[in-house]
Amino acid sequence: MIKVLAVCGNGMGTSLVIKMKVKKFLDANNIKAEMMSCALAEAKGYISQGIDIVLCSHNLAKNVDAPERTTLLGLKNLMDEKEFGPLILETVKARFPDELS
Amino acid sequence: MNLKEHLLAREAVKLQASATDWKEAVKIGTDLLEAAGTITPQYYKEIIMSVEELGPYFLLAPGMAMPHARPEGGVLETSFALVTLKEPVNFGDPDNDPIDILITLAAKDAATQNEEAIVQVVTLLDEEETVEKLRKAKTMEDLKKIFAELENE
Repeated sequence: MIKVLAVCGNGMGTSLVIKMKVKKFLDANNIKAEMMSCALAEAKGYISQGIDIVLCSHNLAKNVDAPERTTLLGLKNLMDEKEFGPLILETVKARFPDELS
Repeated sequence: MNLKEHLLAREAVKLQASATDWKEAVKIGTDLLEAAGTITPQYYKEIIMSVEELGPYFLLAPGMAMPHARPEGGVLETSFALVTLKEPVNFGDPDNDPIDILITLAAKDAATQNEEAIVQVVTLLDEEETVEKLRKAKTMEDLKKIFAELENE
């Protein structure tokens, strides 16, 4: 089970869009994940509790502090599986190969 | 209430609008919600300030934006506005500019309450075909037809 966090400015708009799209993708690929979403201001708290992958708009990525154990993915197109899909698969393959069935 | 009812009940829709820049485009949406009484004038300022601080964080995909700020930034009631532009505007994000579809989101409270409405925003903007129809829509009747087609799927 990997922990995935979607972050946006207020935690109620864009991050929910990301969460929804990415959850669908992970389910379709049989990757077990806990999906969370939050505001930028809350991201630090979430990340400190152990998050594996953080997703946000590439406009926000520079504002997110991610430690080494957390992979930060800044997305240009938040709704395009063709962009985030390969990025997520690559990350899971490299860091959590056991999660791929 | 679903997105369609939100938009139609509050007449929070402006199709084929004209805006000279991104701020004006955002304002068309917030003006609709102000007129509907669901946000205070502060909400527009909050969105502009957030973009100036963080960059255009609410661009969803090429051509599409979902302007919003925090609930305490002047949201009185959860609501949406739909704005399409005759001539697109740039938000300063080469990957998604130019933008001609804006869904202004004013969320009153916790995420779970809004999730259902966001699902509908995503559903509306997910299919290229629907987005193209939205771009071309000129009247409320056109819009109602698009929603009806979505519901029938």
